[in-house]
Amino acid sequence: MIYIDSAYRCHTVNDGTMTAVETDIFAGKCDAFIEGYRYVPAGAVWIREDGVEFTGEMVSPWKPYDLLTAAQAQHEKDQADLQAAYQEGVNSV
Amino acid sequence: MPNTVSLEGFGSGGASLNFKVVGGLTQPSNPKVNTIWVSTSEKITSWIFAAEAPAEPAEGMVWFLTGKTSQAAFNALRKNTVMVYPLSAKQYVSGAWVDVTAKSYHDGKWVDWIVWIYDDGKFDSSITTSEKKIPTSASIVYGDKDITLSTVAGKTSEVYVVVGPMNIGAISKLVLEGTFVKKTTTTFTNVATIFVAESNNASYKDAVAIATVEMKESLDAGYQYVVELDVSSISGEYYIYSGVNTQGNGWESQRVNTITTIRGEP
Repeated sequence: MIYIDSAYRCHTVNDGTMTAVETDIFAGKCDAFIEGYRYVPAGAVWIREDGVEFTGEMVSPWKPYDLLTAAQAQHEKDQADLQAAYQEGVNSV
Repeated sequence: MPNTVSLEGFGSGGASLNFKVVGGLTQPSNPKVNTIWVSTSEKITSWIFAAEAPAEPAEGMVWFLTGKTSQAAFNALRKNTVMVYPLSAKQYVSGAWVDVTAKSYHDGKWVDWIVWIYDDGKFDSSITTSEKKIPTSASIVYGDKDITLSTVAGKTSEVYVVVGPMNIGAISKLVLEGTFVKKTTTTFTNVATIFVAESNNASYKDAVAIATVEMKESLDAGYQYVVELDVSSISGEYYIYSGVNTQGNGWESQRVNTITTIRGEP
């Protein structure tokens, strides 16, 4: 489940004003990656800052994609390090 | 809001103007700053920069569509300032407007306006193309003016033409246009889609960015669809996929769509 705000930006936590969206498009992605995306539902219209209109369904990054991939890579490294530490702990028992 | 002022002129430019319009099939080899090259074999008899099509076009006229922003923005005057934001170009040939590629020379390099990835039955010759078909028995047929893509009845299916690797840094919007050919017989999905991915062997689930338009059962055959994708936050080389899929659903009756245009807008 993700949540979208009035500008169709994605969030992982609802602040009480957002719309819930059931989707598996971000499966395995960390919060920082997800929250750099915009999800425009089918039929909805998002107007970009320069006035260009986009009609959903559309999923595209609003933060520079390079930053999102870097965040995801760091997340996966952190997860791997945690798993390794856990396994080391298990093995020491 | 688009520009409301139009610039109109004749010939290749003028002493008081800060730009020059040049036509021909060969990109100028030694251009001056703000040279606008229009790729055309037809003589350019006049030109106009305007947000709307000229009411009384003349044969050979080039209409430069203007917007609020442009990768190729320039000052039209040598003294004072009149900023122009060109987006695309059309030429009036034999009574009809024809899309033509235009580029501007700024800061020592050519800047693309609209990139016509596929139009009028042809791919841009500088771009590598390939296909992605799931299953492989899905069909892609290249016609004189369009491409027909057909899924496989009874199968989860994805059918795309793929271009790339292509640098999309100068493109902020990808557009796919075509027609819905075969009416569905069930309520399962047929989506026309355009997406970008990091490999040439991707599924829509691997998309970095994706836009879809559903061809619903209520639509008539011949319905003209437009799918538009914001890629303004993506730079670098990617593969662009354009086509049709059943969004993972199987037991589908066949879906058939055409592609008439794939373009990148600045």
